[in-house]
Amino acid sequence: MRMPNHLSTVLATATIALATAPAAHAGEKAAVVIPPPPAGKGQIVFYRTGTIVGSAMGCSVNENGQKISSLGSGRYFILVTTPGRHEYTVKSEAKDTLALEVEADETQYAMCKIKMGIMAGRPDLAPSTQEAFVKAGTDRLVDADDMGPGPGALRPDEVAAAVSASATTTPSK
Amino acid sequence: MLLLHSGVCIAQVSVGAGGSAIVSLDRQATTATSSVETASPCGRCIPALTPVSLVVDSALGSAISKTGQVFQLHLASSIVVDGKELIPAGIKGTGEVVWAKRAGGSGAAGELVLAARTLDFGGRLIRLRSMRVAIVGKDAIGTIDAINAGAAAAMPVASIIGFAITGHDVVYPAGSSAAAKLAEAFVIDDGASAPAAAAVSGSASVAPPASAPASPTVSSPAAKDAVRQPTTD
Repeated sequence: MRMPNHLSTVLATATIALATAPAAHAGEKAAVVIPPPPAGKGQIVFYRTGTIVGSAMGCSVNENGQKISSLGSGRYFILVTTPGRHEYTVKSEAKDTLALEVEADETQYAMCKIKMGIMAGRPDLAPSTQEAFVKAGTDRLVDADDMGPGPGALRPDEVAAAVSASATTTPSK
Repeated sequence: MLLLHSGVCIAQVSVGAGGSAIVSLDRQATTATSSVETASPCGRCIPALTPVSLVVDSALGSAISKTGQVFQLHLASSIVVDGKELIPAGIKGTGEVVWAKRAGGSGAAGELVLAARTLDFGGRLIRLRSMRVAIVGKDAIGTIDAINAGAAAAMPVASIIGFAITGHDVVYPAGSSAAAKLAEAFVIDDGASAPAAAAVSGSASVAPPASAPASPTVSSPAAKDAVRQPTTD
């Protein structure tokens, strides 16, 4: 049976909206608190938006061939590391790399997107900003058992402890 | 132009301001700073983390720059301590392209990460950090997702068009301004010797003692350079 033109148009529009919209509204979520890195260290917040496209794909972040953490759709993790140049890779059907200059006592942001591939989506790692992280509305930490074995990714309890510690030492504004 | 107190180094400590849905507690993530005085042994020095304004001298971009490439820059505004210009505007320096990746297929955008390394002050190198230029072009991944979603409902073979769509490269034109910070305190002199700044700036005058009244600041022509923002093509 042939589908009426207007019905197929509505169906396609709805599919596009569903596929490209974030999974939830950022404005309705609780504030995400990023604690400062330990003194003398820098940190990078790796995050991924919660779009439905590519949500089944993994986006594991690696350094020097060692996995630091998985990064599922709508998740983020905080990597504490030494200042200097660091090169991170994400890999599935194809590999993508990003190098960042980590600065002591500062936080940087990197975002993983899943772009179109032949057999499966391809992760794309790119520099980002705090503003983009806020706009993305990503608010779920990666689960502890999805982190490692490479060092540096803060487990949820470590993030909570760091936030608590910084709240007691940071003067309120 | 940067105005700093003399006599002691002012360690600048800042607390990041929170966004609507995120609170960043970085020690020095923003330019909103509160000053904390710490004693310094140097007579006249510029403290670590002092913000500096730079201008990139050559065009850089995700498609035209190479990772590891060294580029030239210069100090846009002089650094003035207690009314005395210690570091003149215009001194040359270098930066490094930490990462450059041109835009690619499937909507991937170009990426460019820059770092300021040093300023050359009469043969002495002032180490820099925190240039914070990590820019990415506009990607087309969302567009391709939309095409694919539409194609899935109408004509699946059309989704192959997504491979041919590239993102945009990012361009950082010559003359672009960038902020950075001193990586470590830079000692002009120990308070007893003649200031090196005088030799570099061509002035024969000796800096007044720290208790002297602040002299009027001099605007740098370089500070009036047009500020250009990175663009995507």
